[in-house]
Amino acid sequence: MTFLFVATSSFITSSAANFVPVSGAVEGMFKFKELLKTAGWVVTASSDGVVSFSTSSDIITTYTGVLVSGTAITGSLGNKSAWFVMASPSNPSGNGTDRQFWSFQRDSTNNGTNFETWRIKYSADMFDNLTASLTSSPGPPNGATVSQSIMLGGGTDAAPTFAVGFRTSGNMRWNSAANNASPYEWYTICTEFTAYQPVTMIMHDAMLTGSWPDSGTFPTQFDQSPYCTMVSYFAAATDATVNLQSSTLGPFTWFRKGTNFVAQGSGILRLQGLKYMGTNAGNTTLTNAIWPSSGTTIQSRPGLNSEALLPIPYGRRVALLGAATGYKGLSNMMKYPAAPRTNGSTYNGVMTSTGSKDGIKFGLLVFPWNGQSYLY
Amino acid sequence: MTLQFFSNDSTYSGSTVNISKDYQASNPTTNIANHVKGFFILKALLKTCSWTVKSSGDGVSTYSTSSDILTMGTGTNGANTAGDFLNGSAWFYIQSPGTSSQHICIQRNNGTYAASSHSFRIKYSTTGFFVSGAAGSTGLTGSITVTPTAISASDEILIIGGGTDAAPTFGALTPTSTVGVRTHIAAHDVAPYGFWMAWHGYGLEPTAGGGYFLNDYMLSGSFPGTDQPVADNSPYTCGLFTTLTQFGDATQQFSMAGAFVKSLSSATNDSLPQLANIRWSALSYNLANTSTVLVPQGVGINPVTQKLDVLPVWFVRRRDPGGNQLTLDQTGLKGASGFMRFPLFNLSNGEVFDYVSTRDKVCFGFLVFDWNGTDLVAL
Repeated sequence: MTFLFVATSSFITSSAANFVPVSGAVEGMFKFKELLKTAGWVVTASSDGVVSFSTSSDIITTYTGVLVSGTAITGSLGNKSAWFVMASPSNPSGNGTDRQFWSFQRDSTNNGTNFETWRIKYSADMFDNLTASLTSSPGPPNGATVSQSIMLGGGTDAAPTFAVGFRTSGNMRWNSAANNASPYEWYTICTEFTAYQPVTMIMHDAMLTGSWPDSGTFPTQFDQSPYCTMVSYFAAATDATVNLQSSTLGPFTWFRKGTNFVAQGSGILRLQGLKYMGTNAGNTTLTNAIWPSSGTTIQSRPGLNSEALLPIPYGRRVALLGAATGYKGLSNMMKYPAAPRTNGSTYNGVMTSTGSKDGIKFGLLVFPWNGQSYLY
Repeated sequence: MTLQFFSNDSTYSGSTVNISKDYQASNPTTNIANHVKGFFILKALLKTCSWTVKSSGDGVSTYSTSSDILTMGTGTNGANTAGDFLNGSAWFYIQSPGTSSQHICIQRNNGTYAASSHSFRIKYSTTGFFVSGAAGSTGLTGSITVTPTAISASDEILIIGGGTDAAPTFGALTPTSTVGVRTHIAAHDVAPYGFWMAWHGYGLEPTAGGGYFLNDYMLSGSFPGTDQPVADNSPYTCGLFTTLTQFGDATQQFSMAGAFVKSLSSATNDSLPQLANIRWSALSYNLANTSTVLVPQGVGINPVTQKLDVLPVWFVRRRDPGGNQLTLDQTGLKGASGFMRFPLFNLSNGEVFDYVSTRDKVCFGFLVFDWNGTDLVAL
């Protein structure tokens, strides 16, 4: 497992992390797309929104040349209604059998403007190219909307509506990372340019093998979709952007996807990251020491000059919906910081035991990182 | 790894779960053998699982620095009998196989025969206790009434009881001697050679008292990613709880002894500090901290499988502001319990349920353990 931070493709070679996109979200998302391709994901369909589209390949070759409002550029992500579908590698062995699908579409208002406004969908089933067009991203097969989740925006594929998911050009620092091996997780996080708190998070996480009830040491039924996904945006930069506990913005997952579950018709559900709570010394008082937020009493990792990190358990409680409850598994990509730290703080020994600055804190979570100091 | 629930040792042959109070054949109606019997059968099961009794003493006339001399229940109530574990101060020291051995020394109360059979002194070490060598500077082997000293004083920790080997004090378990106890024990017959033991009083609810004694192990690979940068040569914890509610009670902290990444050369990290657990919970909607305990109480049964999921129990070492003032480099994460799980839904004490196979899990207090498929027998 290696997390990549540099997009290397026939279209571009560029760092996808720790940079300020001059052209705003179209630049950030273009580099994000190329990073995912570098890590093994495939663009299964795409459209530049104005000139052409493909149901088999990536025709979005650039984000540049769109700064003149109203000018459509062939193959540019800056065109209105441009869209692309990303699919994980066909056989993500070890973490379920499903390919994962994401669809990203630009605002349909104007060429060269509204870069921060998008419609984003996720499916652990597939998107059907039969319904794709220049301006319509593919929908779920047979119109079975239960298999997809609109993560940002709304409407239908034929009549999409869009929502702000990013800051405007030059007002955010962009960070993308992608695992080039199974289970192919990734994240994109944008921080506010001056206050460096997060404003946007899009993430695709997987359960740590053996940590979910359906395999390894917790064997029952095989979880067909041990993934969870999340899109979060706050206009005002805040740690709440990167927070798994929200009941309204928390991550989505298929909760025990399978025949039985589909029959119940519940589709993709929200999860929450369960927190940890400890009691005070003296065995008498509950102190509300909770990680990650108020806990300050677990900090070291013995033998390593770095701070302790805690595993993140995903669960679903009765209060959330009441339909499908229980434990999902542990995050494979992220961890809780054991002590409060500022955004952009880096950690050692996160991805490898000798790693230097290979973890970074955004919001309330710690992610893989590329060894750099964060640029504020 | 196979978990055993049956002892084939010469000192006891039979099931190690649903053990009733009346094992003592000569005194079937008395309660004198309650906890003593439990620890005696624990010894027998561990021997079945390749543990070795390194030394033992019967408290009245005999001891050995090489073998198990103890029997149980062969005498008459009120009179000491050679070799009887019911005798006051009787003890044994037992060691697990392998290169990462666990060493446990259990001594019963030093009162008269059979009296106070609910009080014990238990020591735990990852290095061991003396079974040879001269007394004095090189340590003391055990004797008739005295348990052996630790090879490394800093490596020994008292699980229950106090004092010294020469002048021990004893800690009480519940229920006391006047209340019958049903005990359940399971142990691995291969590495990692852990064991757990749970008991409860009359009825299945913990109101009649109960507790746990276990030598737990960390799940292999339970450090997510590379959180643990160095190999832990002693991925075990050892603990005893005098009530079944102690572990999950929101008002109490539980602790287990365990080497803190024992492979490190640092004397600080080589010691056996207490490990405090952290309780599973969830954040409220508004992101504020909350004292609501979500696990093991508030997550429901899975509606698809119609089964109860279980959560891993993590061991961490906290720097508690209230009293346990550790340095920050003494804090951290050890791993996930190999034996214990939190249920995601309230269960009755002693309730068995199907997880993978029929009746393969049992709940005592707020913890779930692997079970052997039998029904729990009410007292």
